[in-house]
Amino acid sequence: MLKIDDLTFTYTGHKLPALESINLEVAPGKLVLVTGPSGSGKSTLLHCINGLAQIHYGGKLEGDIHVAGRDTSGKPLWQISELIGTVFQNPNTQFFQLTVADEITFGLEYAGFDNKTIKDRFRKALADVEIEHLRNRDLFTLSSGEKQKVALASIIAMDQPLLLMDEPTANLDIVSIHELIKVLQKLKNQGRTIIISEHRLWYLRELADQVVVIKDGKLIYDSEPDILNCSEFRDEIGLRIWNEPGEVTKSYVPQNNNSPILDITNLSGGVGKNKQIIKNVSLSLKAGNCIALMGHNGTGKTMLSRILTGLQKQHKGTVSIEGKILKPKHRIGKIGCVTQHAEQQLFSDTVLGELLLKPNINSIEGDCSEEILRQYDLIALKDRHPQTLSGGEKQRLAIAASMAMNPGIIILDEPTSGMDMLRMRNLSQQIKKLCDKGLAVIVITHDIELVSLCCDQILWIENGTIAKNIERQQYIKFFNELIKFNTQEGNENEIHGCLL
Amino acid sequence: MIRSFTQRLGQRNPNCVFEQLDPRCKLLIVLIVTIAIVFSNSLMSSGLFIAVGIVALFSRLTKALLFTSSFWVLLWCIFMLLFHIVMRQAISAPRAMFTAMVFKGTALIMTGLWFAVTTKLRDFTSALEAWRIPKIIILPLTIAVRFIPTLFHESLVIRDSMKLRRIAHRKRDLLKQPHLIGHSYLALITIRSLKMADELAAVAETRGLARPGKSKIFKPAQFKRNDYLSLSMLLVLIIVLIIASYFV
Amino acid sequence: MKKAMNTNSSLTNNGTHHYQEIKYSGAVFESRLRSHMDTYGWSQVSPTGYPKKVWLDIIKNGKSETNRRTAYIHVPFCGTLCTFCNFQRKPGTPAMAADYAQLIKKELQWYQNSAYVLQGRFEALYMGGGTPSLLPTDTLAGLINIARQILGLDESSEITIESTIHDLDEEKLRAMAQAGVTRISLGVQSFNTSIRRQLGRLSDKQTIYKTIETARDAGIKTISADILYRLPGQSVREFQNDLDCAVELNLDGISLYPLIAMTGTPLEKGLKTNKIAQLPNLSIEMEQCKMARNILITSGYKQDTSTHFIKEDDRNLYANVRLDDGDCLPIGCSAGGYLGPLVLMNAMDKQMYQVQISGGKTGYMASVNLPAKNRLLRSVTGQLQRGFLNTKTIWQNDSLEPEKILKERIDKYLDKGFLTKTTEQYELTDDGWCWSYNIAADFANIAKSENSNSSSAFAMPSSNISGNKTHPHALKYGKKKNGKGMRGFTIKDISVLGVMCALVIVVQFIFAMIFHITGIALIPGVMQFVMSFASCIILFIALKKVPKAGALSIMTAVYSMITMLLSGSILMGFGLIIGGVMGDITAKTIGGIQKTIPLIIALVIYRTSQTTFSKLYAFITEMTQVQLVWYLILFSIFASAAGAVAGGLAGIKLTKKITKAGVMA
Repeated sequence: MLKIDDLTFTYTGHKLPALESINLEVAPGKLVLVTGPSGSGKSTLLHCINGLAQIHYGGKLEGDIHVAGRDTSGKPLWQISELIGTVFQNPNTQFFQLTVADEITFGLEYAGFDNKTIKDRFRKALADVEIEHLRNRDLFTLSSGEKQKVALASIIAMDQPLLLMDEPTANLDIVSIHELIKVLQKLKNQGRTIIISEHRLWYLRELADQVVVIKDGKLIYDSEPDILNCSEFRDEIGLRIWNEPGEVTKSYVPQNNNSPILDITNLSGGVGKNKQIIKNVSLSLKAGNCIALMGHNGTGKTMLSRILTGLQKQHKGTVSIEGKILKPKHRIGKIGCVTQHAEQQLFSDTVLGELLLKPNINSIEGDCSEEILRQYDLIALKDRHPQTLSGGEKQRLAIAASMAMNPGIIILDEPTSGMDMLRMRNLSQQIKKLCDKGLAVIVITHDIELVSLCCDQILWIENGTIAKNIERQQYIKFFNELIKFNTQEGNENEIHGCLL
Repeated sequence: MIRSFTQRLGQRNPNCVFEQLDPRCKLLIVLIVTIAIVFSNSLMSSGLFIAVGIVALFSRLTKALLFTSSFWVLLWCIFMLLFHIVMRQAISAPRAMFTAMVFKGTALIMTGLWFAVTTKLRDFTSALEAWRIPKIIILPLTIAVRFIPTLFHESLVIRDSMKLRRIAHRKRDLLKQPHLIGHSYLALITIRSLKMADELAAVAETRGLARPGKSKIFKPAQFKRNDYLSLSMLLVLIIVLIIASYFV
Repeated sequence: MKKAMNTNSSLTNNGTHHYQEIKYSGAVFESRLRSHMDTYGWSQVSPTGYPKKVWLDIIKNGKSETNRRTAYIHVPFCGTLCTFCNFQRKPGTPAMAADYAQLIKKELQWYQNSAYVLQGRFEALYMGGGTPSLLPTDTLAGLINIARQILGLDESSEITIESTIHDLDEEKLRAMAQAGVTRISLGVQSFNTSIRRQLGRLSDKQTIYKTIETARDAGIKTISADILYRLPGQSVREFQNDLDCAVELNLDGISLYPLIAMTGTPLEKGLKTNKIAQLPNLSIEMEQCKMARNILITSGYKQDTSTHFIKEDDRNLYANVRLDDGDCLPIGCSAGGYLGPLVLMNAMDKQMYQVQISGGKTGYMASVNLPAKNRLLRSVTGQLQRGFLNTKTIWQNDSLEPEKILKERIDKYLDKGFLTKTTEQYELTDDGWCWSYNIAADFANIAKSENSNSSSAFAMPSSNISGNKTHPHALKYGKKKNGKGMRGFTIKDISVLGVMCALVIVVQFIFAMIFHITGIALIPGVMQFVMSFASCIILFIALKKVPKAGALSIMTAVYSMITMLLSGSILMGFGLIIGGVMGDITAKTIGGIQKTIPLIIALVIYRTSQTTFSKLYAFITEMTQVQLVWYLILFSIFASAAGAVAGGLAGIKLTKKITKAGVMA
């Protein structure tokens, strides 16, 4: 179905090739997992296959790519798109229409099919992806998982022989991932060939027929998935977990006798007067501690962080920082917050300028900013535009910029989504450093590996309240309760927890 | 707000009769009514006002109707007060002005609103395609409407981030430091928009939208019986009003 | 060598030929196949294997199974357009053709030192198109010389150029003869001047005669002409006149083609709308075909292939080698060919061809490796198109039993009287010749019945999926215009325009909200200024990113339609569109929208127009009875223009800022 011969690809303006001498063969009807550390070239490989790399992004492609026996070199993108369908990572930028039905028929119309074919394919696509109930729904009201399914359905309707998926689970929670597993199994049974580029590996355990590992632009493994069972291999490459959660070491943080830096009492709040998302949350956080807030999507974690940072007014309850009860508008700026999409938090023209943007009364100025950059390993980039940095660098810069405000508490919202092992470990080091400096860190996450590395406590949020409070010694037990790796497929009710 | 926008333009309401009408027909109606309003005298404009009012009531635009008419009445009162009495500038025909402002103004606005409320994006683009408007206008239209909620959401997120970093987070900063808004907000949202446009272009190319040749519309816009009916009713109404206005 | 024909002709006293009406009974075929493309059933092979490697092997190592070689150069440009032609429309100029010729040279040079070219002898070169004779004289001669040198063509090779009559003058003909052209194929179609005009051909009968004479004088050895029959409203007698002219001219070769109304041609459209007389029915067509055979054979011609008749000086070598399982090296955009077991196709799209050649590659786009049975069938159709079938000399290997495979059909056609058996082989009868494409296609389809999942090797994927059959040689000169073309805007541009339009609306909305909340909106002119500023700053950036004429019009058109959808205000809609178009036109006249000053002026025009139209409300509702209102209106128009200027200037600064982010590339 796919044969790649000695592929070498260099982006325009770059000296070193992004991919070197890749040879790959994929038989029809197989599901292939392409993985590797961040920046290794997984996405580039997919873009070379579907033609975006050489035509849209621009670059020099050497070697041959044959899809379904046809050479894709020299063909315009719309012709290649008849052989290859691509589902991208971000569901938000994949849509053209406002409702689900319109979205799926949109592509079919542009392909020039007649009405009957469009109707049949539309129905079939809805059935294959199991979203008949979403047929007339508005795209903006769907959850991430449902959006991803709609994107998949609109590609499947075009009925291409090869399907590419670029990190489809980047924005999904575990329930959606399980539904995606079912859909992928169904598609595989229909005989489609699927190539998935991923960081999250565990959900493809039963599905992947072939695993391809790319590191630094070179193909270093192309064979059975069994090798991923070997944890040394995974650690060496920097891959995430495959079949069991890792070890949890004992906490190195000594007993903390500081006074609480953050005190929340009976906090309740939500959007609008009557809607209560957070109900009676109480917690206290000491300086130097790091806690994890975990829970399903929609249980109120983000709302809690918004209330804490002062962006949202609470309905009831108090929040006190360093002993003083503060109203929302006074809280703003006292608690730093770094969100999942760091680019929405970077305003300046230069990296250095980002830290000097608006000096606060408490904030640091001048060469102290350079010192901060040095700490975060960004000093070499100080004159670059923040939006041109890589994902990890942007995140570090966002954290640095928050730190320039000298807050006592910092909240990190989903910091590791889409991260590989190495970067995740670096982040946990940084969090530890922050704790050492005397900050309190709250991490909102699904990533159990991050939590095992640097968080002293887990607060499990359910229905807007803190349901459980888990200490470090109890982590393993808690994880095993949550994530039942040995559960049979179909017992989704038992799988509550989240990974990564 | 985002939700109401998308509901207005995306979701179809099967009960509304006006939604079944071809958008081209509705556009023609709006055009004819606008021209009629522009050239009408007081009798005609009151006739049109009543007709528009009735249609508005059927399209669940009662609130808008009341609001618009009261707004015009209020404005007329202010005009009369300010200019006629206080500034002693004679208004030559206050009654005509009242008719014009309230009747014509409301009718104009309500017709427009009626069109806006009963037309869905998909039907509108089908109608445009039936009028052979080229792809190069219809595709950006679809993209633009679809991105308005996304960019609005993005703006809110950026505003929150600015607040957290204490950049122009107080209302008075609007006057004291407007350049900060430009630097921070405008620059960032523009960069984000251009990046999203690029991602969208990549998706569009891989979906084969650059294919040369005609695209086949799934449900092409067609003039049906209701369309002809409503157009003829309108024409009859206007003729009647023109004739009536000769006798008064 | 052909046996005596069953002619039904008899010479009458005054020398004219009378032909009895030839009846054919019992329709064996439902309809007549008229093109050699219909016989390609053997090329429908499931894509397997990696034929490009095989191709590379043959070229680089010279291993080809047959030594008979030809080459084909395709020139996809025409000076004038014929109504029956399905090729994409953009008349070519000699200059365009000359540029293209450089690419051809490069491709030839790629093959120059390859083993394949060095080891074999090329028997024939054919230059087709389009109209190869469109090339300027020097370019044409130069190209032929280079091709001759590289391919090793000698005096015994045949070099054919397809030409129109009007392209050929004495100078060109001499240059061609000197360069080595031995044969020209003239697109005469008909000698009847009025029919020629109808078909879109230029020259008249006298010119044709004169040109042929000049060509002979210049030293072109073989002159062949294409003549059409089955023309709209053409009777048998009219076709006979054409044949008589051809005979009179003592042409060395005559190709006869029945007119095919291909989808998408002006001819087809004219037939559908009855603007053109209908094509003759099948019986008249068959009569024309048989009559042609009779006339030409009695005049000393021999039917060489399904469409071509020859005299002694026309070897028709290129066609014969190709039909005899020979190789054909394809050169040029959308050229097709054969190489051993491979069927080749070069890049169909001219831009793609250019990209490939400039990148140092050949025009190779795709190929299909024929399995043994298909090669056999190719060979069979090749023979049938030359009038015979010899099961011993067709291509075969040990695994195949040709007699068995072909028996059923051979028997069928023997039965129907289309084939006769001689001692060595089977030969087409008179009737058989006129149905030769149908017969060949039937044999070719032996391959189809077994491959139900296969798709034609060269069917452009679009013709499979979208159901629109385009002629395989239908070329794309650039963006195909169907009234809905992209007119120079790429998908990237369109996305940017769409997203930036959304941004204009969102930013204006946010500013409006902020100003309304803070109460500043009540100050006259301020809102206008701010709205104008907000929209123009974003428009400035959008137009800097897409600095094409028409971009402003598109954005304002989209903006006005969204305004319609959101508020139904037709006045504002008009104002926006008119403003945008006027702004665009003004910018174009004073230097182009890429430059800053015309851009700002365009924005001012657009914004002023919008404000003016939106103030029409005041006019309609007679608020303008009050003097002050007039002043307010003027003031807001002015404020709006000022806002546009300010927005433009601020846009310059903002563009600089965001250029560093790398998004303005």
